[in-house]
Amino acid sequence: MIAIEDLWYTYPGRNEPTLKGIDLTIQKDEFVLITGPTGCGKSTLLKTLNGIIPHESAGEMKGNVHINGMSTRDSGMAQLGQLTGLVFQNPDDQIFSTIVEDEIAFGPENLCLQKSEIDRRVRESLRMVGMSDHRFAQTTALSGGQKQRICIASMLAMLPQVMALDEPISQMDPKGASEVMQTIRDLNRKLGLTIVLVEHRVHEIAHLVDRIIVMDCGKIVLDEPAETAFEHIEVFRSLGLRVPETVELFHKMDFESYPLRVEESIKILRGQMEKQNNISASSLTTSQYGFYTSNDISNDGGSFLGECNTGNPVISIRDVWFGYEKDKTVLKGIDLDIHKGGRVALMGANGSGKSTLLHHLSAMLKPGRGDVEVFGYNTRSKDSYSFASKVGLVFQNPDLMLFCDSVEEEVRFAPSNLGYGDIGQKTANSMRSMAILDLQHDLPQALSRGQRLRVAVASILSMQPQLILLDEPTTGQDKMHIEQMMDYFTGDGTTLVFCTHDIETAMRYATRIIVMSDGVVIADGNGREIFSDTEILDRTSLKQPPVMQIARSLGFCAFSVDELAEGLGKLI
Amino acid sequence: MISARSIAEPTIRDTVIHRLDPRAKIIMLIATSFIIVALDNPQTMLLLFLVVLSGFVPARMPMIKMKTLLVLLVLVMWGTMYSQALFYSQLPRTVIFTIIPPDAPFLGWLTHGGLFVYKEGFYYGAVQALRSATVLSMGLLMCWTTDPRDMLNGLARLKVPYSIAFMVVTAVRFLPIIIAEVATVITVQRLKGFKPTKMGPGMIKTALGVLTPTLANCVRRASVLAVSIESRAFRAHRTRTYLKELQYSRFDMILIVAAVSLTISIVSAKLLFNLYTSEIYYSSELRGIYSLARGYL
Amino acid sequence: MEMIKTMRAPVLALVVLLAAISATVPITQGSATNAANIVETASTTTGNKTTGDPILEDMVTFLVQVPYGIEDGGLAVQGNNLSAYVFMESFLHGEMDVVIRLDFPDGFQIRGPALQSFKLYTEYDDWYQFIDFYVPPDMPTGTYAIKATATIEIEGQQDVIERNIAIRVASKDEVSDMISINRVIIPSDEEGIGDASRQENTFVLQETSPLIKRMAVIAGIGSSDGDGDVKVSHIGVEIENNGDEAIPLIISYAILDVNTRQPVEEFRPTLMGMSSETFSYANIILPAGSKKTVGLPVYISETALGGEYLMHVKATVMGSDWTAAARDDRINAISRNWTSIFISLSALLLTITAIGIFVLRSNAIISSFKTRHLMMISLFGTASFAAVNIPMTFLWDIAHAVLGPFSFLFIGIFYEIVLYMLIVASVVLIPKPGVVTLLLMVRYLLNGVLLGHFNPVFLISYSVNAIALEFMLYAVGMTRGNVIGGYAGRIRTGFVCATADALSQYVSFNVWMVLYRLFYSDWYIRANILIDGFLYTFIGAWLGINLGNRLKKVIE
Repeated sequence: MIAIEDLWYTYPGRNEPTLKGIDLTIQKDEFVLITGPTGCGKSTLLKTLNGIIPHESAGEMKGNVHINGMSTRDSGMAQLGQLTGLVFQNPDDQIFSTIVEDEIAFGPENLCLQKSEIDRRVRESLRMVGMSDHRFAQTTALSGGQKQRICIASMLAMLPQVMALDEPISQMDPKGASEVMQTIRDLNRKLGLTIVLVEHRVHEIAHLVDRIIVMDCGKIVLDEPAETAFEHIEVFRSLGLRVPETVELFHKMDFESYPLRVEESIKILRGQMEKQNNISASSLTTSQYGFYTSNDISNDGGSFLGECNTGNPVISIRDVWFGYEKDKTVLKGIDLDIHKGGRVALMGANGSGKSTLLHHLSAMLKPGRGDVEVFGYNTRSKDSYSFASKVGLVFQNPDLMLFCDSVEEEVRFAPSNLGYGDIGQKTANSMRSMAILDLQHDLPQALSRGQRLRVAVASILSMQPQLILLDEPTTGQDKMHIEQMMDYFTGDGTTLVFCTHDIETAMRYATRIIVMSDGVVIADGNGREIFSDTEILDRTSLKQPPVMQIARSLGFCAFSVDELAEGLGKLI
Repeated sequence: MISARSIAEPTIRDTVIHRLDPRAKIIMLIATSFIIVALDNPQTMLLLFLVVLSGFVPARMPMIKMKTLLVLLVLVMWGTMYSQALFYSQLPRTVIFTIIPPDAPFLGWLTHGGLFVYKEGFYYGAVQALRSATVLSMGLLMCWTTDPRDMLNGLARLKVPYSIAFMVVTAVRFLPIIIAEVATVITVQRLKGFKPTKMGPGMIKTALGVLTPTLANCVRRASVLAVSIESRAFRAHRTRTYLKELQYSRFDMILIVAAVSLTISIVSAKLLFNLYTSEIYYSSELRGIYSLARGYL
Repeated sequence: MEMIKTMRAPVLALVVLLAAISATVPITQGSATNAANIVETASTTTGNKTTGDPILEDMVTFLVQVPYGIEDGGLAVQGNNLSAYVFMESFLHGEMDVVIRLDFPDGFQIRGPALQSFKLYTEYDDWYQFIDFYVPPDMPTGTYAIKATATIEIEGQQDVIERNIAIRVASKDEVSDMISINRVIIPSDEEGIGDASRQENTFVLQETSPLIKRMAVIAGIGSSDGDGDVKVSHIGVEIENNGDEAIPLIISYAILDVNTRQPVEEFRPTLMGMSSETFSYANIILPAGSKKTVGLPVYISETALGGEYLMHVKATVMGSDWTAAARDDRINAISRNWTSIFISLSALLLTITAIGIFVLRSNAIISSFKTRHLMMISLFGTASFAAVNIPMTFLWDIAHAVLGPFSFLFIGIFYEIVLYMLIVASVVLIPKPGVVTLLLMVRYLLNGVLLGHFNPVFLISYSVNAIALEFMLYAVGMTRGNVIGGYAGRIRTGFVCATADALSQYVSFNVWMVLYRLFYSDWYIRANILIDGFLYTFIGAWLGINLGNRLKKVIE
């Protein structure tokens, strides 16, 4: 289906080629994952499949790309467009219509198809992505996952042979991501569509794909079927790519083969345990083995909470009700205290009210009923912006926080407006803590995504706020960037409240997790407590990480690969 | 509170007005603009205005829209009345208030002998404001009863180049997003202790501060969007087909023919009359038209 | 204003002169020649009953008119001052001594000596004298005889010539009943004859703008000198005398403010150093039982305002200040601002042409842009709408209502600075002809689709703006890919945008004035063009280059 021969590509104005001699053949029906670190050339490779390179780009391309026997160099964009559908990271950047139907019909209309044929294709495409009920819906009213499925459907309407997707789930919440991945997989399995997927969240999707290709510095460094790819785990590790937790676990336990699925892993482990102990694993109880019993956790957690959740609360929320419109209540009687030095993760599905709650803490929103006190001041009694110096809010899209000419100016902006002393020192400290000192003369908007996030955070840190609020900082960001940022806050001691969908980030960095659903707090405690309770997880769109699923199924209580490996290691 | 949303978002219902073909609506709006510009007779202008206003009744617009309309109309009326009260230059005129006395230093000189509020100007402004008010009401009636995509569909069939119509569709789609982004940027500025609404040179800083991140996002988004639509054969062929065909109903046709012929007659009668009063062209055979124009137009 | 005074069309000056000479020639005391009305006087001289030596009668002409202008059968109104006119001419080769005596009946009060003596020395020597007299209000009405006696002594020989003149003394009511102004024809020709091709009771005021005059000068049909800042029109007054005596009348008019009834200065301008009132009356002797139409010139200074006025026409009996008949008519002055009309028409034609060309060539124009560029322009259009139009929907009117005439200082910050930042930034990013047009087009349509503002004024001003910007940006090379660097480049860009915007502001004011009949003062338009159109746009364009350069880095 796809044949790439000795492909070289150099972007205009750059000396070094981004693609350096790629040779690749992809069969019909194959589901291929291309991964690699940022800047490895994976997205560029994707663009060659659609003809954007070389047709719409001024760069220099050498070598050949054949799709279904057609050379991309010699074919027009229109033909190629029909052959290969492209889907990008952010569905909001791809949908231009206000109504779903228009979006899907757009391609067939451009192909000058008959009205009946357009209608048929719209219907079929929507059916294939499971969105038939939304044909006349407003695009803005859809969730992230639904929007991305609309993008896929709009490509399907072109009846492509190949579907190329560029990080299609990196901006999704867990529910959206699973919807989208399930859709893609169905297309591959049921329609026999060739799928080329670029994604750095390898660990989440490896079990769905047929083949994994790893790129680095414009070259393919690994090209293996999914089952055997992780035998070269060192390749992934050296490039900073996360491998699936199951692989990690089995690698740690020195297994020879690495299963990609939870069920498979459980089966193998259970088999091993039975073999070793000659007893049925299902009859094992946690007390028998005594690893990380739930008692331990609650004790452990309790003591931890005790350390952090005492004294006068920094924030105190009393019976807060709020709605943007009269008949739509978003917050329904929230009662919370947040104490100094705590790192609180707000979790829950989209629309559960977590962002709204966060904005109440910054005094950007004032409760309809009830009171929010921040540092002892009722948010009602003061102007929203008088809290500015004490509360630092980092918005969901940090790009909107960058408006100055240079990084240094950006970071200096707030303290100089607030009339602080010693601005130079504060600015330098903030930039140092976010590791952006070397970028201080650059234009913030021209930096990479991860750098932009760090500049935005630094521009808040320079105000030396006592409370930092992060609104979904993990959305659309590389794991590495998140970790760098969160590591800083862990060592800092400021009070931190953040919304996130990312269980790992919450588990790793939060001292307390608050789970919200439909405007109400349904769980409040440390990560271990929360994620042991599958009932709560079911009520939200959250899913237990694979390790916890395996542990639970085997009757363990473990929260990380290390814990589980250690526990299992004693048995097997 | 009247927000940008209550102006820009249509209320979709199934009424006589909603069912009109968007092309018929656009043509009627253009016809109204022409007629109201041609008219001088206050009574006729008021009549036309009331006819347009009465269109809101069968359209069954919700209360909030009617309030919005009222506020906008009052603002337009007041704005015109106020400006004309100041600049009215016909006699008789009666000064009811002096804003800048003729002997005021500098301003007196600047304004060529002071600035006064004239009673007759208010009345004159109210009459002339009927023009803006009529066009505004007609426009809003059209917008509030038509989905933007139908309107653009209509525009595209009325020979607005498809690419242009497409650009407008995209612009409409991204408007809420960009408004939200602008609002966020202003909030961020304020949270950083900056006062964006303060008058003076700081406003320039605000403007740059707001536009830089907003447009940077636009620029990034444009690239993705372009690739996305190109892979859906945008501009691949000279023409295209449409899933949604527009079909004139008999009622649409009657309205269009009526609007167009009325416009042509009124505008040409008024042109002839003006040629006559300007002493450029006169024909005794046109006396009937002259007296019609003088009396009713 | 200075400009206007120096730009004068000679045609107009000529009209003024002709009118001044021919239409009504003023009768000034002491001058007996009355070119316009002498004919009338002659035709009515049937009286002057003569008694005396017929030989002597051949040697002199002895003429007595009471009142002046009427040889017999004159009329005097109670309480009036009148003048009698006595004239004597000799046809004798030699001297003669003359004593003239006027005998008025009792009750008439003579102002001055009733006895006059003089000497005529040779053939065609003549003498004349006006003799003022007063008819007291209580003088009984009726016909009186006035006797004039000339005693002529030639070489010691005396002879007497007598004249008996009848004069009727009438009450004011009697005269008022006799005289009526039937109608006033506005406008009319010099003779007072109306013209169906011109609207009744209406004056079209003179074009006040210098532009057309200057164009006329350039075209060779005008010149910059002359007395051209006053327009002359005419009115016809139809007046009727249904009495039995001829009556000398002065017909005059005044244009009054409708409310205050005060004369409006703009309708009595100064001509050749004199008030135009000196030129704008007619005196006639209206024969018994006749009807007559008199043409009067109306002088309108160029500063006259349009609107409604009162045309007050009156007839006074000559020799008195008493008004025998008067009539008021409401008149309209239509101010046709031809400059605005001309500019609006040209802008409209330009708009139609531009749109026509665009629609016909849209494929070629649009395909010169990459899809990415089209999307960028579209999103910039959205951004300009979000940052400018939406706040302005409310702010414009509110600012207008609160800040009044100076709201433009505030509004311009949004409209001009922010808008031009966007326009110039898009040109920096996509240096191609057509960018501005597409951006403004998206903005206009967005405005229409979302807010219903498919306003023809906006369409015209956007079009003019787009055309001007495209031409100028192309001319300075910005849309030909020239990189704008350094201060010179910025100043040039700023200047180009500022000029184009000032032009479109000027045009849009004119269009507002013509299509929406709104008034704007000159100073206001000038201040708008200068501050909003020029200054703010300049700042906006300057900042737009900064913004564009920043965004360029984002793309890279």
